[in-house]
Amino acid sequence: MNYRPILQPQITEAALKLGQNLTCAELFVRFRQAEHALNDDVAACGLLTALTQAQAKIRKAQANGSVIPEDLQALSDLQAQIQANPFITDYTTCKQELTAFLQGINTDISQLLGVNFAILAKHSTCC
Amino acid sequence: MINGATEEIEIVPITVVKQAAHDFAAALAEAQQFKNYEQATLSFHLDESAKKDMQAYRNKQQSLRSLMKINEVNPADQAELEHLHDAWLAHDSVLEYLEAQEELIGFCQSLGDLLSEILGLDFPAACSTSCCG
Repeated sequence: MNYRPILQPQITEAALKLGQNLTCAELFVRFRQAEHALNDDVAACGLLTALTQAQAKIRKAQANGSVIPEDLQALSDLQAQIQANPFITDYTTCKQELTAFLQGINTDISQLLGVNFAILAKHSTCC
Repeated sequence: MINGATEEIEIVPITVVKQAAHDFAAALAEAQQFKNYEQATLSFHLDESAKKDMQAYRNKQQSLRSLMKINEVNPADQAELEHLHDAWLAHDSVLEYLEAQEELIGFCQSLGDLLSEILGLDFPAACSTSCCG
């Protein structure tokens, strides 16, 4: 059964206030800025696309038992370039910081309730 | 204030964000769905017979875990497991607890959806640890 309740005004207002405050938190703003900067950088986006393609190529080769050293070296080179790209590293750092921040907010909420809010609110089941 | 490429955003202090989180939790705690869940949880914990039946079911399930993984549970054990499961679910306190839990989950999912919509990212997924690593 999918139970989809109508939210009462009081809790809706509290959720809207929390959401709006979160979007104006420093770590959230920095994350969005890093995301925009990454998306605007053609070289960084190209590296990420190339990484996805290289990983897919290697997965396919692994499935066929035909992985060649050149492909592994190409993947390694790409990973090194990605780790050296300032837009990608900044985005990754900001995302990690935002995740830690949101986890802390969820911990605050959950400690007051005595249940883990994020676990209850999550749609997907495990794996 | 942080200067972005296209806009300026007034940064909200962390204390304000935490207060909003506190207010959100307080409002959630006052919701009928949460109160029902707390009451149902208490009723279940006070129902010794239901807890005993739950434990019997879990013990049987645990004893068969390795066989269940390879689909080698014999019919007698399977029947006993189902019987124990039915006995556990026959308690009013268990049914009330499961119903209250389902309602609370639906309620929290709606709230999570609202937060995700505002943030532009999956809030529950972003702030919970995946069991998949």
